[in-house]
Amino acid sequence: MAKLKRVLAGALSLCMVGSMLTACGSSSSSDDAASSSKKADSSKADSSKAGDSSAADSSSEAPKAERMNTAELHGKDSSDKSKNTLRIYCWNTEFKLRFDAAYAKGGKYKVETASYKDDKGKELTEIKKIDGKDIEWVQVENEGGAYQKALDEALKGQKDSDNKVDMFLIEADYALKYTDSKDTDYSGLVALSPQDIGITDDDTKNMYEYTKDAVRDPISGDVKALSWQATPGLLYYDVAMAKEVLGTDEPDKVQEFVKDWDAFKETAKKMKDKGYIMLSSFADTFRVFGANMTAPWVTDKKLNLDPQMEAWIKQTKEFTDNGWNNKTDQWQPAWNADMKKGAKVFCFFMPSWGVDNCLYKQGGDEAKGKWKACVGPAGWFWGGSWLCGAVDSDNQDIVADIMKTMTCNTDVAKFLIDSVGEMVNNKEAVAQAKDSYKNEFLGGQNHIALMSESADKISLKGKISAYDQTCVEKLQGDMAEYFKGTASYDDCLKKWKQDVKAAYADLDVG
Amino acid sequence: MKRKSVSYAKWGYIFLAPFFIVYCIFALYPLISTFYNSFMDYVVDRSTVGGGWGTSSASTAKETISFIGLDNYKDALSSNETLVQSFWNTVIMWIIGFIPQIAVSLLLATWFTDLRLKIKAQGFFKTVIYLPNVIMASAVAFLFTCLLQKNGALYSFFEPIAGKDLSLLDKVWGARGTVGFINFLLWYGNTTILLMAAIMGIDPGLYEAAQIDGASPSQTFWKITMPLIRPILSFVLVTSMIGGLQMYDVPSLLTKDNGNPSGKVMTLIMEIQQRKDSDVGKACAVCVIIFIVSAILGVITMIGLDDTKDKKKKKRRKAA
Repeated sequence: MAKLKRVLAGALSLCMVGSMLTACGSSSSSDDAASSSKKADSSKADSSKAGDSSAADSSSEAPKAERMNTAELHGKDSSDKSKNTLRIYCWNTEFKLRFDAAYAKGGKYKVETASYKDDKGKELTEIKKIDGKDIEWVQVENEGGAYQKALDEALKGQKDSDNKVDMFLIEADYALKYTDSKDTDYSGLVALSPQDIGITDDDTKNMYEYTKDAVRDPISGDVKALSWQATPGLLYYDVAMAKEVLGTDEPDKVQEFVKDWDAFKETAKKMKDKGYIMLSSFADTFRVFGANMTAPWVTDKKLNLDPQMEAWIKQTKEFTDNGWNNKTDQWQPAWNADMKKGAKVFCFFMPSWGVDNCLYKQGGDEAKGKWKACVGPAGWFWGGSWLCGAVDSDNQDIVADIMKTMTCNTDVAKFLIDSVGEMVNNKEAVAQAKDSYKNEFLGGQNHIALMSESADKISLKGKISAYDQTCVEKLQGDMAEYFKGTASYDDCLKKWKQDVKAAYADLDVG
Repeated sequence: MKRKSVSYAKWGYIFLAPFFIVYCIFALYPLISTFYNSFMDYVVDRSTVGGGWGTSSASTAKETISFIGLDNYKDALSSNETLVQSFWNTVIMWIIGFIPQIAVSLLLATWFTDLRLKIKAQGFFKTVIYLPNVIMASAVAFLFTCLLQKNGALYSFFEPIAGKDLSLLDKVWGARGTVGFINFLLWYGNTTILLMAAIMGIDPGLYEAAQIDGASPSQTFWKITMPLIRPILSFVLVTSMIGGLQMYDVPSLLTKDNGNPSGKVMTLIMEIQQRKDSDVGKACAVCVIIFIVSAILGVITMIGLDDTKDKKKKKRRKAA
């Protein structure tokens, strides 16, 4: 009996293996034809790809193809439920908070609101319905490319789905992926052109040029996304430490101590002597160097490490070895803790959105008056968020009005300055705030005036590519070991290249 | 014509059908396409979404697919790739977790089933032992990240071992050890319950007889318990090995997907997760390699622990 069983089992397993192999053979032969046709496709794509460089250098060039009306319905009609829902993809609540607070100041649609408590127990009002339609926020974590992945899936399926995405947010690190139509046949098109849904050049006249250039589609020449913020960065220093160590807390005078990297280093030494620490994380100065890069991370599918990045690595190693930073990792609890009152860290490089999103969020009302701003060793900026309407959105009127209200309306811009200290993407509002604005959290300082000087000089041209988020996150993650002294520079660099290659197999990492 | 009996077999097949249909769609088809794609040079250009709105019909991101034979496998196993390293990482971390897991489980299972010890409140202890397994692995990994990172509760405790200003997770063996420890913590309860069931299945008369013959506890353990729970032991070993090869969530969360320090905590599934969106062909090749390795390991273990050999011997003895 046992023998019979064994024979049976053997026969069955043979059958299984056999069927597996036959499946293999037949499918590969039948698919040969398919793969060769795909090959033909791809070679066609290659030939038309000549101008499809990943750099944002094409904004000044003439459009490469005839415009198409992006507002038309291209795919399947949507369901009633989708028509009655405004679906917005985002990675944090930054825009939602702005929208909840400011839309009613200039929007033309009636909204229904409800109140809720945030995690600190603060009573807030949120917009539940706009023009009788529900708002659905789809929030996905930005780190590790999770947001991009979720958004890609949704946009890829948009054409055949009856539940349409209406609006989504993008960040400078990957903006090009969503604004560049890639090919003269618009194969990469996912975002509505604002002009197709009724937003005119006149509406956007107050915006900083770079916020438009960065998201201009090289194929059609259209601006594809609008931003409510400009993102120049400043150096925020601790007032009490400045007074104790440097003998002054006046922004103009403190600026003298940090006016270039040499002075910055000298100040770091002084801080250490008094028991303070200049910076918190390894990556604190990363964006200051990154904003001054000479070429994007990826040009023509080739990965390169910019001299500015090498400078960042060198400087951070020096700072770490000398104990001038607190060896934390950005966005981690220890980094957040360094922003609280009573922490030992002297300064943070923060872009415009960092005051509200980081310094205030972590420090709370307790930290009022702890920070003041000065320009720091170099002019810089960090990212920024843009609003995009999704092609085939079934609520284009509402999307258009939200974009127009939040990014073009001067009253809303002024409100955002006054309520959260936002550096808005509206020159008129900024010009007015230059004289009168006082930020309560920064002890009454007018940091908008400081930022407005550098906002005009920002250029993202030739600095961003669609691959930035991964390159940046992986470089910071892999280099941390070099800074901590547990691995050599060459090993970390090799690991970084391998990581980028794993995420983007079609890149030449050298 | 008169039927001799009613056949109920078709009902059996009907009730089995849903499983096989689901299996074919969600397991067999992906398995076959994985094998197929592993022979392809299949690379996705991730710099574009590919909404497919344009005039052409292409609705996905640009892909290049062509047949390249075994090149993916050669690449995957070549020395300038990290995959071989990741394989050894996975094996090492599995061993770090499995050895204490099986030792502690055997010890606990023996204690709980020992007739002489008569431990009270067994239900309570069994529940407590099993509890860690109920918590999600990701939650435990996150907990340990919080404990071990800078300013964490255990950071300064481990600083003498890890070095000044370093966390345990910055050291290769610290990080590997933590991963192994978490896996041990999560799974020893499960193994204990399994082994207890196996031990309780042994005829108590054997233990009584051994006791009367004056066998020491260690003798009963090695001479009675161990041989008789061998089938279950081999089951535990094989399932744990296959689970170990698929280790992903704990190391991934502990190292924020980097597999650092120095890529020494990177596991095979982490490699696949990193590559699957772009380097589809190679990711598939790694999947196939894992499949083959699991199969080989399974077969080796089954042969090694098969008790039919003993039976054969006995039969021969009887015949003689």
